[in-house]
Amino acid sequence: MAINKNKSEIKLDVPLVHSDAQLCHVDSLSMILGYMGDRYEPWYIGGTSGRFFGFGYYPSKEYVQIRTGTFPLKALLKFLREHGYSFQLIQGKSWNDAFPILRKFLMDGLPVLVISHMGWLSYNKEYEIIRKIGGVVDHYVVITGFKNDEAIYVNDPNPDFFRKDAKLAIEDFRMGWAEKIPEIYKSCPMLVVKGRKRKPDLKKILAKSLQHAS
Amino acid sequence: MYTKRGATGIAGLRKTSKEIPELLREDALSIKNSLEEFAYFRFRVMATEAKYASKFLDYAAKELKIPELEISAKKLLIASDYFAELRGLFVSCVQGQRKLIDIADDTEKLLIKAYEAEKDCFLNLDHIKTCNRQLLI
Repeated sequence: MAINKNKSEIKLDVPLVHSDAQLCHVDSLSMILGYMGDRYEPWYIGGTSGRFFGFGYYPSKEYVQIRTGTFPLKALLKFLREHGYSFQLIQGKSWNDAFPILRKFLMDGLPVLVISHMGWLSYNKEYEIIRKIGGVVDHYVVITGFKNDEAIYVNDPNPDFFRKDAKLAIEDFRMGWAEKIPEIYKSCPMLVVKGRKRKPDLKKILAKSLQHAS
Repeated sequence: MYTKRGATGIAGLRKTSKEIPELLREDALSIKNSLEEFAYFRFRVMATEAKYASKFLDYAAKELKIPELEISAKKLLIASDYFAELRGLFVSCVQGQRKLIDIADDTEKLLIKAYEAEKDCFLNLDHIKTCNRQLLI
């Protein structure tokens, strides 16, 4: 962990993980756990959390929707519980309340998983099209640090544009946060993993996962 | 999930294999609106998820000492390839190389093959569950 004297800049060395497709949720959790020294591959997180099983087909006159698995955040929390981790999930905070908490986590050496508004991740010009079209596209990323009140650092698992410690202007992050809040009340979650309370029972976890898969 | 009817699990995939080709033939608005998502997101994700789920089943086969799980793992890997091919078809439409109606037959064939592979996977899983009741409860 790199921290300067007055803690005006922090950059945690969180390993970057990315998959061949848009599996930013399991990739982001894999990064956080990897930083703690626990190596869990995205395929294992997805397999045990119920993300990869359960096909759904929902056609309408305007759109054909296909989905798989349980809601990503729910799946990640299930994974953490079953694997004995202690974690903290904070949701629905305004920017003014949320940012000091985010900084505090980082100062305590905890990388933070957030569901960001992809269109405001301005370090990638490709994402801007989302903002221009309108609406919010959720994208799971890991905040690895900050620099004063100017910027935060982001590990982005996008399969085509993955980046370690991408520098994002605080103002753009704030804009994305503010746009997400009214859309879904309990949006903008911040998830930190604090440690492990107990050793997981691997066989039990695998057996349970297979029960749900079949 | 091995379901016999409805919009979810194997039954949902079977329904998809019947209805999506028809929507393509009809040049339906709903499929036009979904085209980009199918091309750049949905089938890419499904191909990778099936590949990852296959890895997971292989791992579970070793850890739980149930080698029969490897059969299901192989079936998912086959399904993954079909999803990747489906993605290619939708990309060709988005890029204007082919019209919707031109990919309807291939889409139907690939979706049926993917359905068959997943059906075999989950039928085998159900069989394993029955034979290993003690272990998997």
